[in-house]
Parts: sequence; structure tokens; C-alpha cells
Amino acid sequence: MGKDLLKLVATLSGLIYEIVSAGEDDDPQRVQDILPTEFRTSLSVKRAELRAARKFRSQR
Amino acid sequence: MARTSDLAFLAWAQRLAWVSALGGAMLALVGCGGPPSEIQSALSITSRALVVVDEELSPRADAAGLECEDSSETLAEWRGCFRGWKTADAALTNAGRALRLAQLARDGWEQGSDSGSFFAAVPCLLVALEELAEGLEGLGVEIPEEITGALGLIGALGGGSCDG
Repeated sequence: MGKDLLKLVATLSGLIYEIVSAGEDDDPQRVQDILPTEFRTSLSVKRAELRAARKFRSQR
Repeated sequence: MARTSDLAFLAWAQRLAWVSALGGAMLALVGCGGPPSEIQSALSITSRALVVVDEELSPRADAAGLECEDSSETLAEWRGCFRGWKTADAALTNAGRALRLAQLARDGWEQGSDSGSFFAAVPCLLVALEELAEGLEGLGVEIPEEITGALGLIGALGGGSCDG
């Protein structure tokens, strides 16, 4: 119980330290400046779907 | 002479006092005027975490598509094999959407709206990040520490339920 509480407090301290450190970032970029319009993963998934559709349809 | 357990308790008590003071300071910041800069930083850090995940997942999704082609006889089989990647991709896209909504709500707060829309967006962002972590876990992909950190940061901003 005591150890769990200590772990919890340590985790919380770490998080708050991260938030405070993050706040020291002078010019935090906005979400739209960082995220791509479309994730590369989405493009990979679409590409894989197209390739599979082409392959299996041509085998009919 | 102090015993080890006394010293540990002292360290714990000091840390608890520090955490309480910082927590109180953050709440005080939230209480006056527009959004504190820590909120924009948390959104930026979470965005960067999604970019890390994207860079990690994209080549793996390409490879998985080809592996599924080799192990499948039909398109239906291929879809079954590839399902986990579709789920992870949907979770990543959803997390990106939730982040953009949180940014809009934060901007509205900065421009004079109350903080309600932002704090209503936070639980949905948290759910989206949790679903992304589950999606990665389902694929056997190690959850990057950036995502664990983002979950902690966004979780620290608030809880509650994601309605709509």
C-alpha cells in the first residue's frame, strides 16, 4: 500500500514536471503545424488495399 | 539517527507537498483568463507523438499488406489478415481529429470563449489516445514512450466522459 502510494506520487510528480517543462517551451507549435494533412499510415493502408484488390480480382 | 523508513517517508512527504503546490498553481493559472501555455505545449507534444507513431507504423503497414497477400487465398482472407492495421490506422486518424478539435477549442478559449469546450474535448482526446495504444498493442507493436507521455499529459488536463 505504502509502496503503491509512493509510486503514484512519483508518477504524478513526473507528469507535473513534464507539464511544467513543456510550458517552458517558448514557442510551442500548434497542432496543425505538426500533424500532416493525412498520415503516411493511411496512405500505406490505402496502397495495400488497392494492391490486394488488384491481385485477388485478377485471380478470379 | 533517522531510520531508512523515516527518510523515505520524509522524501515522500516533500514530494507530495511539491506536487500539491504545483497542482494548485496550475489550477490557479487555469482559473484566470485564457489558457495557460502548458496546454498548448501538451497539445504540441501529443501531436509530435502521433507523428512518431505514424513514422513507425507506415512502413510496417506496407510490409504487413504484402505478408497478408502471401498468406491469403482470397480478398476476404486478406482483409481478415490486415484488419488490425485498418483498426490502428482508424485510431491514429481519430486521434489526429480529436487533437485538431482540442486545438480549436483551446483557440476559442484564448479568443474569449470559456474553457468549457476545451475541457469537454479533453476526455475525447484521451479516449482516442487510449484506443490508439490498444490498436498498437493489438498489432504487437510496442507503444512508443511518446504516446505514454502524451497519455499522461492529456490525462493530467482532466477526465470525464467523451460525449459525442
